[in-house]
Amino acid sequence: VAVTHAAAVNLATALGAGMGIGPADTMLVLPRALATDPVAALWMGLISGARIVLASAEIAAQGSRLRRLIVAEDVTLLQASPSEWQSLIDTGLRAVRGLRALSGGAPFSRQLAVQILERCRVL
Amino acid sequence: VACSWTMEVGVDVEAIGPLTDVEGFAARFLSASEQRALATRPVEWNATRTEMRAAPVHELMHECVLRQPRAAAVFDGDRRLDYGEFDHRAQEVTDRLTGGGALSGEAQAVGGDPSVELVVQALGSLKAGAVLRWSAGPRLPTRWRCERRTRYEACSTRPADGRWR
Repeated sequence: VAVTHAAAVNLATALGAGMGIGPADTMLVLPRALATDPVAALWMGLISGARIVLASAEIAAQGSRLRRLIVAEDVTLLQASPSEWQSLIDTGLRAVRGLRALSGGAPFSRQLAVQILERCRVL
Repeated sequence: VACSWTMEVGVDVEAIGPLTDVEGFAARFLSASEQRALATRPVEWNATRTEMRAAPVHELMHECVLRQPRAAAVFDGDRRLDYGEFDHRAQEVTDRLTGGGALSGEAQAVGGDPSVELVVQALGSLKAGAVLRWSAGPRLPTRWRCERRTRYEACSTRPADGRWR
């Protein structure tokens, strides 16, 4: 897939504005999002002045470990696919104060939305 | 209906799913004035066109470099770079690429495990005017090696053992 700068700026700007991303934010980026969607994972935050925290595959595979990283680094936004969110919840991701959740790209169940909203402020 | 909303805790999450019932959606989630606007001026309501900055992503990011050079930019669990350091490191990559003969519009393969170095390589390649061939993972597709128009070795981040597989 080839993406032009204009399309990247369009997505990064619109999504960043919709999520209210700014210099006060810290975005936690999981390996899969970095590989498949670098515009939303990287450039959205970097053109908004946010901080990017890159999670290793080992930490991203375990919800409880990822939560420790989220708390330690004051993460405010976590982007993950629906299946990744489910996996993180199943492996111990508990509620984090002030965390916003971003997801998409695959079917999203109502039950998963409820589970995420029990752990995050905004979905 | 141009439908862009943020779901706060407490909102009925039944709204998730394909939007087939526009009137029902409007009745539940829009204010009275918004519903009137949707009913009477649908073209204006759906006017989602906005002015976009006519600049590549790395130039937009450079505005953050100038505005907040000491603000944290990237952290990978090991290394941290602020926006100023990030830009400086990326510029070194840019200078190396252009010094090595890289031309604007050429493809640059960038890949490797998630790391500060990977992101530095990506930004440096964009600043050199490259088309970023992106493969954030432990491997770069080996077929990229064979493509004459893709610079492969020049800006690959290397795994811990120093060898691509």
